[in-house]
Amino acid sequence: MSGDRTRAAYRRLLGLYPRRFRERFGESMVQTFDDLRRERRAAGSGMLGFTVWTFLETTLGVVRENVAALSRAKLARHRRFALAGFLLVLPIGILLPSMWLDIAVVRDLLALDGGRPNVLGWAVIVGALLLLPVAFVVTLLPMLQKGPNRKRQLYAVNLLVCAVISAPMAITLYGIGEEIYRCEVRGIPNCD
Amino acid sequence: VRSLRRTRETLATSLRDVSVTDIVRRVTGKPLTPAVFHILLALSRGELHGYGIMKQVESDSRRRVRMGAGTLYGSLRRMLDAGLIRESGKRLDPAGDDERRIYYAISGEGREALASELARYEHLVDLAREKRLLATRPAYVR
Repeated sequence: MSGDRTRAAYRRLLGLYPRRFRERFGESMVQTFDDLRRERRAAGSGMLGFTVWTFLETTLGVVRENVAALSRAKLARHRRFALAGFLLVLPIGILLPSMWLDIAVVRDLLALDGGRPNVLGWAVIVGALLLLPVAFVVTLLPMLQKGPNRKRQLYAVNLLVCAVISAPMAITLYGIGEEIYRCEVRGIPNCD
Repeated sequence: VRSLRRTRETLATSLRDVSVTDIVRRVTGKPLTPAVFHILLALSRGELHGYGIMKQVESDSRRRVRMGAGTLYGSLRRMLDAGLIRESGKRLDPAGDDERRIYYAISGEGREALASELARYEHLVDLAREKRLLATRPAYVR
């Protein structure tokens, strides 16, 4: 890769930094990159190793700064509730597919091999199930409360998370309801 | 009084949008990261631009610490946010090309942080000498 093309590629890589960081340090980073290349050239050192290392190191910086920018981002109140709802539904979101796909680690840890789950298994299953309605209410809350203009508002992101939560809720409620119907209402022996 | 001062500093730094790690380090007096320590050390002798800091760090550490641009500017961002350094303006480097560069300078808080880190190192070196883990004088002095 020629010098100008490497420089252009480096500039493009810097474009992946968060905007605020890029505006603050982008130009200085390019100057530093030029200085380092000039230094290598003057010393008669190879450019390939330097270029690969610089690009890798800067890529790590891009990841670090984007993570930092995300963690500093101030979310709107309704989005914070949506995020909380989503995090609350994660345990069952992980547990259900793990049981369905019969993932060995989860099956062994919670003793879900057809028999009764162990204490940890019960705690995880019951805890995750109880979190579902909590997650639903938490996500719904900003839409139920009146805003400063004394009106309720619909938020697309909260509606979307509610829909996501509804899926495991529907599956588990159907499973429990179906078992109660078979075992209790129809009295089928060994039905569970 | 010290506790109140720390609380005030914590609030001030959190208002400046500093990462949680930075706040924890400053409140608990935990060690600085190697990058931050070397940058403070480099700037303690005068204002430098990014490339100048890199070269000074290399020279101070006898080429044992080599910082890439990603690490350097990420650390500068955190240190500016934490008030350890400040931008001291854009000007030409007399020894460089004709491009104007941003220079950085250490702040009072930065000097305090550096002094406290050096005191911590001094204590550790004293301890190592006391336990005969180190020669009484460093090898490079002899």
